[in-house]
Amino acid sequence: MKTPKSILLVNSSLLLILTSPIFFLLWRVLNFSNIEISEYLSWNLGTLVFNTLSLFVVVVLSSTALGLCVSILTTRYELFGSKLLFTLSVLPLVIPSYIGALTYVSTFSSKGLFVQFFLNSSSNQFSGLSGFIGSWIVLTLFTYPYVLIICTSALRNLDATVEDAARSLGISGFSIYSRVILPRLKQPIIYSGLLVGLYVLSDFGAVSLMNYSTLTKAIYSYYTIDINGDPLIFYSIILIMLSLVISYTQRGGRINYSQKVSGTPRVSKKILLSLKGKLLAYSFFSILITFGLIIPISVLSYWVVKGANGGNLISSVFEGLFGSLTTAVSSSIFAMIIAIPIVVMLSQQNSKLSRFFERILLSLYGLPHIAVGVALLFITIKLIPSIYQTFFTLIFSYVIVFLPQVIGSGKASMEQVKKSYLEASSGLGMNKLKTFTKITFPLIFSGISSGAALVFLSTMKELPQTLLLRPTGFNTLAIDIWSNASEGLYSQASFSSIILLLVSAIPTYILSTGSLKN
Amino acid sequence: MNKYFRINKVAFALLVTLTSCVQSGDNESSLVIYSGRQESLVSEIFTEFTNETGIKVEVRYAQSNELAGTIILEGENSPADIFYSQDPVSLSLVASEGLFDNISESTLEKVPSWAVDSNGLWVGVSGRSRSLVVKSSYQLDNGVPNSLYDLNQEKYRGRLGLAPTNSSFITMISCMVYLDGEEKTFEWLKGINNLDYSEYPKNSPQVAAVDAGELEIGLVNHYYTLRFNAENSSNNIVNLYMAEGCGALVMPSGVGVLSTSKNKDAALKLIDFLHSEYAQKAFLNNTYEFPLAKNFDDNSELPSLDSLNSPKNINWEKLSKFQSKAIELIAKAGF
Amino acid sequence: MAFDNLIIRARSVSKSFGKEIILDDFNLDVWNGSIVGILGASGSGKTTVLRLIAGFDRPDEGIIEMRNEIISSNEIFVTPEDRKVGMVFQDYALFPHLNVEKNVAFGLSQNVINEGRLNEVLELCNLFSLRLKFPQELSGGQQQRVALARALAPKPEVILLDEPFTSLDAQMARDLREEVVNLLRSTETTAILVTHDQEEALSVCDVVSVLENGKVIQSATPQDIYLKPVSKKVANSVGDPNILKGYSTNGKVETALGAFSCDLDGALEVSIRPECIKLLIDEKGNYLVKECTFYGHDQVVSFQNSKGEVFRARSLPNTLYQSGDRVSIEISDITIFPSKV
Repeated sequence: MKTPKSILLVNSSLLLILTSPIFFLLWRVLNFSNIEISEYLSWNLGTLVFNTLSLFVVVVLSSTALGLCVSILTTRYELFGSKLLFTLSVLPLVIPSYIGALTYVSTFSSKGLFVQFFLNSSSNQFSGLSGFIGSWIVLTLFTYPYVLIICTSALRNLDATVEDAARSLGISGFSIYSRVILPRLKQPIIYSGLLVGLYVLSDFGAVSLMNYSTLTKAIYSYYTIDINGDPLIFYSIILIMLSLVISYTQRGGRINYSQKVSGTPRVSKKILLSLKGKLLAYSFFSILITFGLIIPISVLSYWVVKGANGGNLISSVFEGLFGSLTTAVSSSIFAMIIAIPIVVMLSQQNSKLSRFFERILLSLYGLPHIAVGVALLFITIKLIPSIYQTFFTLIFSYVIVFLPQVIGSGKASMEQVKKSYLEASSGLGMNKLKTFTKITFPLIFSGISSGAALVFLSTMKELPQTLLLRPTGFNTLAIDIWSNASEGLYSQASFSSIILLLVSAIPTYILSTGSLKN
Repeated sequence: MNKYFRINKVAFALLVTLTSCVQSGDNESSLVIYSGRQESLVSEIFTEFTNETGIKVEVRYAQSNELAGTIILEGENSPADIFYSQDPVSLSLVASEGLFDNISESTLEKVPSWAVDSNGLWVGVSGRSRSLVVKSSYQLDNGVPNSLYDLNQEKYRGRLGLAPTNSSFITMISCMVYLDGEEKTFEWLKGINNLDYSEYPKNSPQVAAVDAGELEIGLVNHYYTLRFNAENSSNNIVNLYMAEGCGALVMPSGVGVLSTSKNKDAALKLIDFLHSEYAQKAFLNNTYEFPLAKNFDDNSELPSLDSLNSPKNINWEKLSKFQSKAIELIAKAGF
Repeated sequence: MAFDNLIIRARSVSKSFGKEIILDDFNLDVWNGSIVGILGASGSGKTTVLRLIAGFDRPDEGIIEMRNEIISSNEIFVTPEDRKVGMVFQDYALFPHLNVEKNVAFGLSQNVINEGRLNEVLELCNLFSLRLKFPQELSGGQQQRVALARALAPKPEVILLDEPFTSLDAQMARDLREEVVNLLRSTETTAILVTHDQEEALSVCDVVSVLENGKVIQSATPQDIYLKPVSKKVANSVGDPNILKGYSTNGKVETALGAFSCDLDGALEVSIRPECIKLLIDEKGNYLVKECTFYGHDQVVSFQNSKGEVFRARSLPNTLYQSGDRVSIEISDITIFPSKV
């Protein structure tokens, strides 16, 4: 079925609008003279890129390793309560990196809890957890669940017969992994690892609180002290280029959505562990869950209780809560609406044009939010002042970076709409519109709405774009947390954090039970 | 099937309602203030202003230099009516772009002459001094630097704290470039950068850190120390005022009215309010700043302005021209 | 059976996809109440015929009429939703998000449902007890019934069935075939059934059209198709005949299995169906049994003549033929075609 011209037109204009930030930045950069560029190069660009990339590499490696370990342990080994362990291991995903950073900064600073409880004094010697190490640990802890979820679903679909065959041929132990399991997991591992990498590149809150100089932190610094200067644009475009390279690479390992497993793959019998093995496994999980869940939540609770004397806590949170909810709801609805014509077009046609569209839209996924924020800031101030500092622009900025999530899941469900369904419907007397509303839309709705839940969650957590683009007087929980945390007002920050976690728990629960079923 | 369409329609209607709800706060009668001063320090003053005059305010809180840059970027499309800045350089930058209206003579005369713009485009509200914050138990023979340059010594390795992106710090550096020249300033910056300093995003975390024993010497504005003590009912930390140079700089916080403002009457009322006894008293008693528009019996915590050794006769406009150089040097030095 | 109205008439229909010619001067008549079968190999264009009649594709040339009104021509094209054509797809295409009842009711207006049509159809197809289940919960045969019920419910002028029994195993296919035929007959529904399975075509249809190279090469009753094929191709498509070459002179044609009288002259092809060759164990016989494959209800014996040419005969299971037995033959019926160059 050919795409009607109207849909093509709508989608093309959408595409242009959504990618306009990148083009704007490019245009500004191209207007630099060569002399200016070399001047900036001497301004620590090398250090910033090095810092950013080294953090990228270590976090990707460690979170991939961690996610894989948990994944393999919970799916292939006989462990009592492995379902619970899996769920607990996924939960750190709910915690935004800056909240995680907040808890670790406030715990391991020399006045912090660790010192208080374990060393019984405040110590000048204790340097605290910050900088590279701090960023590494925090980012790993709160992004490894991406790897965990994706690799577990892939592992569960791997037909275990191959592994049994290998075992019958005498291959055992570690070789099973290196020769049989991991090679077949190559795609999901690369895909999820790079997903983590994109998150790291884009991260702003954690590295700010940890005081580690990455590109995002530098961009924000320039935003505050030299907004009219060119380094702001220059670093933004460099960061965007980096992320485009990564996301382009990632698409090589993209999971094929339409890969339906015919029949149920036989799940292998779980391997039994020796006592020593079990002890090791449980210790591993204890440590992981302690650092990923227990410490953050306890620390937050501690700060809240400590600051509960100031009744200010509760009232101050309402404004931020309202802001977070309105933005999250609006952006998820908006994204859903925009996604529909795009998804319809992408799955009906497999032409070069639609594949091109898809590639561009998916590349929006990894875009660093702070760079998008900078671009939109300039675009609105200079070109469309009437929407500058408006709620609409803020929502639009979210849609740009979160739309790929809806499209991905919408497309997956669209692929279940077979051509024969549509023909059957029209054969039974339904015109195109009725076919769409009775057949196509209900089938893709579940996919699109789970994508919308993702957008809701992501918007609740979002920080840098909100900082740059919000209307005067508009606050979200994320902003409250970040600004309180950077001023050392841990009680306020923790209280807002807990509210944020509670409100985002619901869609996360929906999503994780979905992925558990898969 | 119809159910889905109905849900979507409801959702869309909700979205439109929400958007318009949030937008409706955009009243012409609201005074839009870009405040480089922290919410926790000034929001009560704004509330009292609204109570007294009935004029609603909408405040955008951020760093002063960020707001200055934003206003300049916004140009004639700026939604701001008033720019209330923590430091004079930010004000001068906006002034030199021609974005401020002239302030009336009578208003300018309310404050000392060093606290106004030489072209009458902004007026000071309260004063603050650069200072070192240390624990009250700090042993003076560990070093009381006379000037900033004394800090650039090996003996201060690992003992200093800075907020290099904070506008007061940048103003201080601009002062150094202005008075002492680029080379000397850059040398100092590089030196300090190599002394294992601790970095902070703002002034208040430094003060807390000193109190906690995490940091020995912080470079802040004087009132943060005094306010911290008051809030925590403690006396652990004190200010050390330098004897000379830009480390002793006394700066005014100030306001200017945007010439594109549609609320100039309200804006001028706000300025008057900031100079009123209520506000000036609040600045003295609540935030421990130097009131500029009124004289009160000295707060025993505060030294008198005359006793401080701020560099004299600083032309803020001239000083502001050095800000971009100051930023460049700061970045080049590795901060 | 009432053959009074011509429900579907296709005249000179041609359809190509790119360079590939699928249908070339295709003609078809479908009378009211009849079940017409289109028999052809895979890729012969059978499904295309259905899609053109249903309106999912448009012919390049030719006219399709329904009850004397044009539904497809160079100027006119009636969209599928406006044609009263029901279709049962090869993969059934049951809507996965609707249960059986809602699937079947899909093409019905609420009024019609209220009048009882839905329940009527559900009862008719034995689906009443399954009506709340979802397609994923049904067996293949049950799904097929639902697909049929759904197509039947709006009382279309004609039902199109696209290889409906192909995905079922032999026994189930046979059972279902019988059910479907009964259903169609009892509701006097006109149907076009498309298949590559000879048994299906011959056992179910009133008229069989053999499709080859995009054209209908013979359209006749199953008996005529089988017993009086007009060409070698038709003969080959509905059986496994022995095709012998021969040259006719003076009303007689000589072939490897004997001489026969005939009306035609010249180079001829003689088709002899295996069941028309009777084998008699005869030590003086001219033929040797080569191999015997036993099917239970009959057996196929391959035998050869002195020249080593191999032929097939079918016989009842009673006699045992062994490889190497000498036999003589008796031929009961032949069909003769001119030899096509």
